[in-house]
Amino acid sequence: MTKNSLNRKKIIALIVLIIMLTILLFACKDTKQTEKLNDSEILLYYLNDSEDDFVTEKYELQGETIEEKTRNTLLALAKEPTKNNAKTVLDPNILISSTTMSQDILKIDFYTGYVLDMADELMARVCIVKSLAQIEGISYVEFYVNGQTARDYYGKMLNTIYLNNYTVASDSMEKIIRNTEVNVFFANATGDKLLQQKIQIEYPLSMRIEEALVRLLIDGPLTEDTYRTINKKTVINSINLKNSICYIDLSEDFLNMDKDITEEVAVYSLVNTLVENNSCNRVMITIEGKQHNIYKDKLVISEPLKRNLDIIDAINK
Amino acid sequence: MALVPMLLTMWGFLFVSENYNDTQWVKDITIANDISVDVLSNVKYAQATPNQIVEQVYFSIEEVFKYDVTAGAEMQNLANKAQGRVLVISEAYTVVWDNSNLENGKYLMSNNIIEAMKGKQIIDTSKDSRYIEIYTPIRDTTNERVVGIVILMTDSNPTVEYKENIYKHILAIMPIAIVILLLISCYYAINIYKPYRRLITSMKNITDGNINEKIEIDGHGEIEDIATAFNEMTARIEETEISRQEFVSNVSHELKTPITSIKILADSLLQQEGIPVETYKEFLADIVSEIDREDKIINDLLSLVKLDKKNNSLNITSVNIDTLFEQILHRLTPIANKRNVEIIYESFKEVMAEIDEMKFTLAISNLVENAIKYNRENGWVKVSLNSDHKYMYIKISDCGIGIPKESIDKIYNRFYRVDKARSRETGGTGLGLAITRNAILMHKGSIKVHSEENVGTDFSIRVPLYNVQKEEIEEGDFND
Repeated sequence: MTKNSLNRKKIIALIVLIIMLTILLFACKDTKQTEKLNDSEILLYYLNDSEDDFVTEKYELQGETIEEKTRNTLLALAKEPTKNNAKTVLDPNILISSTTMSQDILKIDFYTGYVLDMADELMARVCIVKSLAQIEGISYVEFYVNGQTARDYYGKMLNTIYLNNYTVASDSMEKIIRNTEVNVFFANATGDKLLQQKIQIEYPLSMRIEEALVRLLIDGPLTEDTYRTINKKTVINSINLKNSICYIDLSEDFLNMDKDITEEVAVYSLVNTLVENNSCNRVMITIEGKQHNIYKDKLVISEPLKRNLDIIDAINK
Repeated sequence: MALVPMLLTMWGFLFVSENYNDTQWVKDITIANDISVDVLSNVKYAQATPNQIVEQVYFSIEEVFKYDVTAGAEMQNLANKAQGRVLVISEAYTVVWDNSNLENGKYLMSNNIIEAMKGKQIIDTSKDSRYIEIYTPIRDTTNERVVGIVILMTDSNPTVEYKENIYKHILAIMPIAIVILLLISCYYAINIYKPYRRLITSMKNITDGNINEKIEIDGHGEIEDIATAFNEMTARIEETEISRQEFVSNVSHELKTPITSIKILADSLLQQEGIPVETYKEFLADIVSEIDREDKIINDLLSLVKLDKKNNSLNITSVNIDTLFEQILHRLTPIANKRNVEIIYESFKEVMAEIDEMKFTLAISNLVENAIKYNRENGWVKVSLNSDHKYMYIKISDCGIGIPKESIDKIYNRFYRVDKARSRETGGTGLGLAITRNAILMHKGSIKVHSEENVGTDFSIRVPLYNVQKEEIEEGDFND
């Protein structure tokens, strides 16, 4: 074997190795691609063939005013979509008497025939609501048939519909992210009083609000003028609700708090935050599954605690 | 190779965590089923008469949760047990109960919800999700109709964190492990390749003519074996080469000696003038005897070469060995008489054998001739023949000068002579025993020598009665 052919073999082996590694890298690439929308584009909602999921399709908004846009969108929604596995739930010959806006409420008046089959009414409504919700300026929709308030599948009157109340997801509940404003209590600079803060929090639909709140406290404040009240390492063992009492079991780390923070501040940041935002009236704290009589030195926590407003900083009240 | 157990360990970890998850689901599913059955007992749908309405029978799941406090308590119980969020959704896809009180009255639709509304329990545990979601349909007792669903969403946190930890560890360990493995395999590859390269270099050297080259490789298993085998092979080749060179030099020497004598004799005749005719005759007689010697050597060499040829097939015939022996001994009697050596022939039974008569005669007469030539005056040579069903046994003994111990291994070598001067005197070529041995071996026989100096020499020969190839065929036939 000559040296040349040996070298050539080595080079070929190297190239093969590189190709294989590249293939491995490609396997890691995320193939998911989300549709990008322009400002004037929205997604129209259709049902899939097996009627157990929604299918969307891009649509370019037409018209100047919101009323025109709505009317055109509804007409487009009634046509068969181009996608193969999708179908419309609306009557193709839908007749819209009028669309009128007052403030952020859109009133749609259909001629007879808005509701096709009774069973499809809900699906049709969801498709309309989800499609219209993307048009800027509309927050509520009211449906009318021949000037009368429309009725749902059960014959109940469809009152004003808040568009955001309709959630449609293809994924699990975990993927639905909710936005809520909550009141949270963190410590002040001296650590002897609580400061109330309004915070917009995001949490998955699958999470309990109590858990989201306690996690918020454990994660600590985002602003600089308030201070952490609970040890960062604290782990939530369990949260139970019974007869308006919230039973919360935390890990031992809850007992190890900064010296600057008074016992009351540590415990009541938790109690106040939970009571303020939840249906519970009192909070019972246990550590590692056991009842503690005294939090550290003096604060009794052997029974459910009520909200304590005295500890909130006077300026904040 | 070290990669395999490592991967196995990793999958082991994953398997354990996977299983942990499974038991968690089973528990949660059981809870969800129990609770939904409890709730269902409160829903008596649609067909209720006005009287029954009075008796607190509800039309929809919405009403159940609106008016029946126990239903909500049951759900809260479920949420507590599973440490998760519970949503109850009516068949109008409205949230009628939520333990976080945030979704009430909202519409919620998803693939899973719609599926569950058709009456199928769904357990959603996507690989990348942190929550286990169980969708359980609530059925109406009277007509098996689905009136709503309970969604239980429970945090699989401990398992997920556990898994995440493992993944983190794996991610951290993997590159290091791969690098270490690469280093180790590189080291081994180089170490394995090294001896091969040395082997190749040595082989090339040998090809170039350095036949003495020895490969020295230690402690590498198979490579070492190859090296040893290779060394043995080169040693053998070397031996053959040496004996070939020796043979060539011997041959030329042996062939040259008579010619030198002839030349000297002829020269001396030419240089002197007035030489008497008697002297001419005498010298010419000497020249003739030298030519005879040369002729004998060449004949011996030729017969040896013939015996050496691999493809040389024996010309096998069935021969009466007794008769053959008598002929050989008869032919040799004049030589024996010259030295007054007595030849004793002993035959125990009539022997017929399948042999090549020519070659066999050559072998035996060489041995008997040697026994006569290297004997003392008035000595004896004894030839005995015996046989059993398979072999014939020939023994040729004499009371001659014998062979010294140090020479006994070399007597079959070509041109080897124990005593060179004496041997030339007796007219030997140094090829006789080599020819004998080759001939006997060709007959698949064996030859042994036993000798004591100044006492005598015994040659024992054993030759099969039947030619082996023929024998094999016969045995084959017999077996069939």
